[in-house]
Amino acid sequence: MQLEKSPLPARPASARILLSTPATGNDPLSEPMIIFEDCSYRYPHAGALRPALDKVDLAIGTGELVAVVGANGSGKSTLARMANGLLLPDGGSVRVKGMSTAEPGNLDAIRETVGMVFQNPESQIVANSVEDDIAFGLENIGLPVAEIEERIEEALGVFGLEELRGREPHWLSGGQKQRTVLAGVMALQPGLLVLDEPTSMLDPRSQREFIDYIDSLRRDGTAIIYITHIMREAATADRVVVLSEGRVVADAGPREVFSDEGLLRSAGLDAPLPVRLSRALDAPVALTLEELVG
Amino acid sequence: MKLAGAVIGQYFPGASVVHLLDPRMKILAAFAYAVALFLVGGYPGLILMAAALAAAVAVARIPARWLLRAIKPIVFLAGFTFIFQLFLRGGEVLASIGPLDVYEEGVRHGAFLAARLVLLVLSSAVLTFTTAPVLLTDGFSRLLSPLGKLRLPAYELSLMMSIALRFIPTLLMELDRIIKAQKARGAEPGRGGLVRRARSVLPVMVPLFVLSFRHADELALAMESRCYRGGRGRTVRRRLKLRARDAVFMVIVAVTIAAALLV
Ligand SMILES: Nc1ncnc2c1ncn2[C@@H]1O[C@H](COP(=O)(O)OP(=O)(O)OP(=O)(O)O)[C@@H](O)[C@H]1O
Ligand SMILES: [Mg+2]
Repeated sequence: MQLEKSPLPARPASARILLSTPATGNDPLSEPMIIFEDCSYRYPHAGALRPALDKVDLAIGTGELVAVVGANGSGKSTLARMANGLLLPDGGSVRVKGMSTAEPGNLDAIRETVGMVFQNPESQIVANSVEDDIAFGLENIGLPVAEIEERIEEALGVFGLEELRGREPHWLSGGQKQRTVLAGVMALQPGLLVLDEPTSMLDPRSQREFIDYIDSLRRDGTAIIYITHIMREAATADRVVVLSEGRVVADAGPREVFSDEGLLRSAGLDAPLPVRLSRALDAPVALTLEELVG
Repeated sequence: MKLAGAVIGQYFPGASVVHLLDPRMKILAAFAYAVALFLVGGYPGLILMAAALAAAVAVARIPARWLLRAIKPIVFLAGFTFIFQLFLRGGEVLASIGPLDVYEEGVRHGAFLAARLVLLVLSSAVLTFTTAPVLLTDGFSRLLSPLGKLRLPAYELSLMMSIALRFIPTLLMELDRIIKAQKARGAEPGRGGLVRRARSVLPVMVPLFVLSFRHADELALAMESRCYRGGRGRTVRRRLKLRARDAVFMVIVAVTIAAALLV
């Protein structure tokens, strides 16, 4: 099955999915969208293994795009599952808009605030058609039917899924499944979006368009945790958090993080291509090819 | 063992009247049909039931190929049922196989039981062939909703059914992939004697179970993340509406079944 021809269209200015959160910008005084404080986690039955997360401190504000990078098994997905209380920290705390995930009474509100996209799209599609899957979360929170239909139309449009609306999940390509999952999560208009390698199955063009889409969400005030193995994508973030063996070993702007060769090597990562090129050319560190050439 | 060719829970898209009928009525009709199959006393009734199903198949334009695939998994069972009944005493002796006599009554009864089994499977296949999974789920959930008043988890039950429908094709595809991988390594799942066959199926089933547990685990997390809290407070998005054709259909079903039971 070929990938959907229609690209992810630039989002219409009127799209309401995208105006979910008022654009408060990076106000340092306002309460961050999410705070991980001294957060540790060890999987039960993991024996004497090191903790999956080790005293993680992290705060992310509205309108902030934070890339999380790290080698396989460094704890990225574990961090994601902490963000909406799927996993609760053994030590420390996680607070979303000031609500602790350890308080069971907060979980409904937290899950409505935090949109989660996991690594494998196959096992995130619940319903028997694209359209019904987008509806799943909206029905769960008990929205009126008219509003549900409106949001479905919008999500179908934003993710270029109009023609596939009635398609059964097992007839979708990997990329189409990934878009369906994204559409279902974005329709809930989350204030914080946690993405665990969301573009792994998208073709390069859809990947670029997705990054643009994410960028527009950020400008509208959505906070975003973007887990990725693609350093080129991480370079577009406001901040890059490097995880290594469950610990945050760096949390700074992409230029700073990607200039630090020793840090990257110890975390098992490569710098993005333009950075490596500029290094080879003895030029100042460039994050994009344009920057390198210009 | 050609499993990707299996048709459990598959939908045969179409726009026939049978396709357009209200899913609730089709589910009820399939259920009534199954019950009636077990109450029918003899051949005339059974033939009437078969004719009714054949009519539905013809109207829905379901290809014979699909029907054959639907009964393939039960061919053996139907065959055994037939053979076991052959030696039932009664009527004339038709043939003798060594010390065993095959009686007329045995053949008659065996064929009856086998045909009943085939009709049972075909009728449920026609239901899934002509009803999109989405509508099938809606139908079940509407039919089960009175259970909610008895404080039974009606929504959860229909969700379970829906998820099963959703993942059967996925798991079949994965099973196919596993078999291909095993074959590439020289294994021949499903070939040879009974013991060898059982042994060769094991390496196929184990990965499949692991995969389905992983799906279940991840699916549960994804559902929770998307604010799943059970049926309470949930919006019912699609309303099903009964139309004249549904009433006509139910009358036909009722008359057919009554006739089959009375002849
Ligand atoms: N369900 C589990 N039970 C036990 N240990 C687990 C479980 N899930 C993850 N782990 C362990 O926790 C550590 C962190 O895993 P995690 O999935 O968070 O890594 P990751 O950074 O997302 O890796 P990847 O890049 O491969 O996705 C790993 O050592 C892993 O083996
Ligand atoms: Mg991971």
